[in-house]
Amino acid sequence: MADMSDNLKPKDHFPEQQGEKKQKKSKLTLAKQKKPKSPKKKWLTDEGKWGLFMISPYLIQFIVFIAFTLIASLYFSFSRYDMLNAPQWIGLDNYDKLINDPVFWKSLWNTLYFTILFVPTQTILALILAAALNQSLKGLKLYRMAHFIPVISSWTVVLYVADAIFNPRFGLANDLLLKLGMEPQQWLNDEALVIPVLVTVAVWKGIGYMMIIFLAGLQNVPEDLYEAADIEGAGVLQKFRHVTVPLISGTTFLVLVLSTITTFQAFEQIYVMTGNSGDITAAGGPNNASMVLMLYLFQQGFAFLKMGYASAIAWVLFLILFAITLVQVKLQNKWVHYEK
Amino acid sequence: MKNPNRKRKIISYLIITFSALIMLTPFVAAALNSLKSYTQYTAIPVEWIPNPFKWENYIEVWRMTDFAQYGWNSLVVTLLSVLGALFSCSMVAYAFARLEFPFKNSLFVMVLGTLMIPPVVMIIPQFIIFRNMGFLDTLVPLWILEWLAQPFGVFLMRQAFLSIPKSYEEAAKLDGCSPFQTYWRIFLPMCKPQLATLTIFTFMTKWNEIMAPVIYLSSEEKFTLPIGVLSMSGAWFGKEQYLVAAALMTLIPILIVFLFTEKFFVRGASSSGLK
Amino acid sequence: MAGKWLKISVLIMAFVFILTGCSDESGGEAGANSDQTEITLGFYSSGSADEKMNELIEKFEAEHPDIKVNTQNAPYQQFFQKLDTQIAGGTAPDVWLSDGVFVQKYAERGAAKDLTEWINEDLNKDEYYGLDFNKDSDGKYWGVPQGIQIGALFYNKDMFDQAGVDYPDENWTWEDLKEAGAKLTMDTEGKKADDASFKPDSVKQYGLTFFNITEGWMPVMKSYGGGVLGEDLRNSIVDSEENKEAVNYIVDGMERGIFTDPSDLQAFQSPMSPFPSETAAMRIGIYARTLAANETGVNYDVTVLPKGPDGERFSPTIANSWVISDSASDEKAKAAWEWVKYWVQEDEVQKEWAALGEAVPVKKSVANSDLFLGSGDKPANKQAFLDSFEHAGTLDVNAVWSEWVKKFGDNINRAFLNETSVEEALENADEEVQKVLDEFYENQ
Repeated sequence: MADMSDNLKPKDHFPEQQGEKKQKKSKLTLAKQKKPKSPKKKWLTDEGKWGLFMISPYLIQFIVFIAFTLIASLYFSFSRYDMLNAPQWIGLDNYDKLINDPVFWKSLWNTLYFTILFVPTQTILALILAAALNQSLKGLKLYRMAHFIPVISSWTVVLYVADAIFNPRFGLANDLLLKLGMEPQQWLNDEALVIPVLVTVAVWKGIGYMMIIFLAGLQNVPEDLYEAADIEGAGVLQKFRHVTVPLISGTTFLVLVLSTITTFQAFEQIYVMTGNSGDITAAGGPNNASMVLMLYLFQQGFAFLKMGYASAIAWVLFLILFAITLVQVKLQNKWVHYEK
Repeated sequence: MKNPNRKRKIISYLIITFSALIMLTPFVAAALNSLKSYTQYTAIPVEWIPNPFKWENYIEVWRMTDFAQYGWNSLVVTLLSVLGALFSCSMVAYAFARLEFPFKNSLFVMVLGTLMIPPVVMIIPQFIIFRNMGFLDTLVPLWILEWLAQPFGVFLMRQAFLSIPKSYEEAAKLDGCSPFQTYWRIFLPMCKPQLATLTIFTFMTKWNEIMAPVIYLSSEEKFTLPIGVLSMSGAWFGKEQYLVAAALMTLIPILIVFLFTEKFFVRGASSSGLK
Repeated sequence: MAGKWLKISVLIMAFVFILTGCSDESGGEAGANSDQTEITLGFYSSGSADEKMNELIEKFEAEHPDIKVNTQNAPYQQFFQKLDTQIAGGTAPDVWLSDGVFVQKYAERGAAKDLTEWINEDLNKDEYYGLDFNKDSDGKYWGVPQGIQIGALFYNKDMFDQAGVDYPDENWTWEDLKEAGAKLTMDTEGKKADDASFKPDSVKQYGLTFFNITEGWMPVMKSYGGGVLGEDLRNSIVDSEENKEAVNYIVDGMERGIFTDPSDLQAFQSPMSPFPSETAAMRIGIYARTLAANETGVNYDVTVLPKGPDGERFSPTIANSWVISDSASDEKAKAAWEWVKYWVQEDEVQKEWAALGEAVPVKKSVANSDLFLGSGDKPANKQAFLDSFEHAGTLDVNAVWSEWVKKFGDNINRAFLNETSVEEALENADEEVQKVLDEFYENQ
C-alpha cells in the first residue's frame, strides 16, 4: 500500500502530508504563504487542502463548462436570439412576455401537478417494495431483476411497451375494460387522463431505481433493532413505521430531493410519448394538457428558434426549483435522522 | 423460524410478486408485438399471440442496422462514463461529506444548483466550448463530463458517506491515513451498494442518450446505438413492429451489465447480516 | 487490486486534463490535398436511401477530383436541431438538404445563400419541377429541389371493389369523396357509416385517413378557396367563409366516423399507418407514402385530389431542397454549387434517385420517362402525380412556418374533436397565427 500512497500524492501542491505530522505541516504551510492570519483560525488547513483537491473535478467542470453556460444563457434570456444570428439585447422583454403567456402558466401548473402526483407515489411505493425485498427470500435476484428492466429501458423502449398497454385501439388496458364491460378510454389523448397516465408510466419505470436506493439505505439498518422490536412484540407494520422509516430518513431525503429535481425537469418521457413519431411540435398535447416547462422551453428554443425566450423560461424554472430545494433542505433538519 | 418473521415474508412475497407482474406484463405484450406481422400488429380486435411467430423480424433489424459498430461506440462511451462517474462523484462527495474546507457550503449549493440547470440551455454553450477544444465529431464530449463529477452522483454518494459512523474516520487517522487514503481504502468499500446504483444510473443514461450524440457526432461510423436505430426508423414505415424489435434489442446489453453489476456490487440480503 | 485501478483512473484523468488544456488545432484539413476544396454536406437519414446518397457522392467526387465531400447525417427529427446548433456554433455544413418547409426558416434569417444569380445562369428553369417553390415574394431563389413531394389521392382498390364503389377519378369533388367514404367506412360489427346503428366510436375501417396539414386540412381549405396566409405570407386569412365551409366539411366527416380524427390517429404508432395497414380506404398522400404502401403490399392506385365546390383543385407540394450556407466561403459555396448542379442535371443521378421511389424526380425529362412512370411498381397511375403539378401550391411556407402551423393545428384540432365550434376555433386560430407572424416580422 505504501507505493500507492506515494503515487497518489499531488506533490507539487502539497509538498508534505504525512498524517502524523499534521500539526507541523500546517505551520509550515502558513509560513510559506506569508499571510498574517489569526493564530486560532487557519484559512487553509491541511484538511482544507485535501478537500479542495478532492473536489477539483467539480471545480474544473464549473469553471470550464458551467460558468460560461450560466452567463451565456442569462445573456440570451435578455436577448432576442434565434440561434442563427447573434443575440440582440432586448432587456426584460422575454420575461415580460413570459408573464403574459398562458401556455407558460399552463405548463408551470402541469409541471407542478406532475411532480406532486409523481414524487410521493413513487417514494412510498419504492419504500414498501424495498422493505419487502430487504430479506433473504428465494428468487430475490429474479424479483429485483423484474423491477429493474423498466429502469434500464430507454424512453423509446417504454414508448412501445406502454403503447402495448395504453393504446386506445390495440392496447391491453382498453381490451380489459371492454371485457369487463366498461367504457374504453382515450388515455394519452384525454386531457384529464394524460398526466395521470404519464405519471403511472413514470412510476412504473422509475420505481425499481428508487427501490435500489432505498435498499442500499436499508442495508445499513442494524438487524438487532428488528430483533429488539420482535421481542417487544411489534407487528410488521409497526416495525416498518418505527424502525425502518426513521433509520432511512437520510435516504428518503435524498430520494425526495433528487426525484423532485428530475421530475421538474421531466422532458424526454413526455416528448417521446405524446409527440407523433418524435415530432417535437406535436408533443405536449392534447391541447397542451401535458405541456411541461422543459418541453415548452425545448419547443420554443429548438423548434421555433426562440432561444432567448427559452432561456428566460429556463431561468424561471431554475429559480423555482432552487427555491423548492432550499425549502426541502431547510425542512430536512426537522425529520432526517443521521447516525451520530 | 419465528412467527412474525414468517408473516413478514408472506406479505413480502405477495407484494413483490404482484408488482413484478405489473413490471413485466407490458414487456411481454411489447415482445409479442415485435414478433407479429404488420397486418397482425394493426389488427382489430387485438390478437395477442403472434401467428406465426416472426422471429425473422429480429434478424431483419440486425441485418439492416449496423448494430455491432454502433453498439461498440455506445459501449466505449458508456464504460468511460461509468468509470468517470464512479471515481469523480465519490471523491467529490467524500470531500463534501467528510472534510472541512473553505466555502464548503457555498460550493455544495453550487453543486446542487448545477443539477437544476435545464440541460436544453446548456446545449449551445457546451457545443461552442467543445468546438473550441476541437472535440467535435469525437466521442470525447459524450463521456468527459462524467469525469468532472456530475451533481446527481455527488449527491447520491455524499448521502452514503454521511451515514457512516465517525469512528471509522478516527481509526483511519490514527493509522496515519491521509484523507484520500481514508476515502479510498475505508469509506469507498463501504458504499458498494451506492456505487452499484451509480453505475447503473450512469450506464442507463449514457446508453440511451440521444441529444448529445446527435449534436456532436457527424460521421456515421461514430454513431451510437440510439441514433443508429433512429436513423433506420425512417425506412420502416409500414413495418412498425421492427421499431419495437429494435428497441427491445438495445435493451439486451444493458441487461447483461445489470446482471454483472448486481453480482459484483449489490450485497445480497443474506450477506448483509440478515438471516 | 484497488491500487491498480486507482492508478489507471488517475492516469486517464490526467490525460483528459492535458487534452482539454491544449487542443486548439483544428484537425482534418491537414491531410487534405491543398488544391482540393473540401466541403461538408449534411443530409437527414431516410433509411436505405443513405447508402445511395453516399454512392452518388462518391461518383461526384470521381468526376470532380478537385472537390472532396465530407458528409454528416442524422435522423430526420434530430437533423435540424443539430443543424441549428451547428449554425449557432459557427460550424454549419456548407450545403445541406432541407425539408422544403424549412427553406424559408433559414432564408429569411440570413443563414442560407441567395442562389438567384447562379440559378439564372446555370439552370434552364423549364427543365425542372419545383424551382419556384423556393422563390420568395421578392423573386429570390434560396434552394434547389432535391426531390419533389406532391399530394394525390391514394385509394385501396380491394376495399372499393368489396364495397362496390367506383374508383375515384379527376371529376370527384370533396363531397363525392365523403359520399363514397361513407360506403367504405365500417365499424367493428361491419355496419356502414350510413347505417342507423353505425357506431362512429369503434370504427374498424375508415373511409379517409386525414392527417395534419399537408395530408389533411390544407388541401381541403385551399380547394374550397380558403387558406391560412395571404399572398405576402405575413397576414392571416384564417377567419374566412371559405375556411368555415371547408372545416365544417371535415368536422362532419370526422363526426360520422368517415375520416380519422386526431384522437383516432393517436392509436397508431405513426399517423401515417392507417392506409398501409389497410385501416383506411383512402388517404391524401405525398409521393413518399407509396413506399409504405408498397412495403405492406396494399392493392392501391392514385388519382389527383378532389375538387372544391367551385371546381378549384389544390395539390400540396413540398420541394425538399439543397441549401447552401451563407457562411460558406466563396470557394466552398462554388464547390457546393457544383454538387447541386450535378444532382439536378445529371440524368444518371436523377434516375438512380428516382429508382429509390422516395420522391418525384426534379428533372422533368426523367420524371416523364418510362423509368419513373412505367417502373412496374405501384401505383400504376404515377401520371397522376405529374398531372397534379398543374394545381400545385406550397404550404404557405415562411420563416415561422412550424410555429403558426402548431398554433393553427392546436385550434383546429379542438374543432375536429368537437371541443369548440368551428367559428370559435377559426377566430382563435386567426388571432394566434397573426400574433406569431407579427412577432417575427415586426422585428425583422
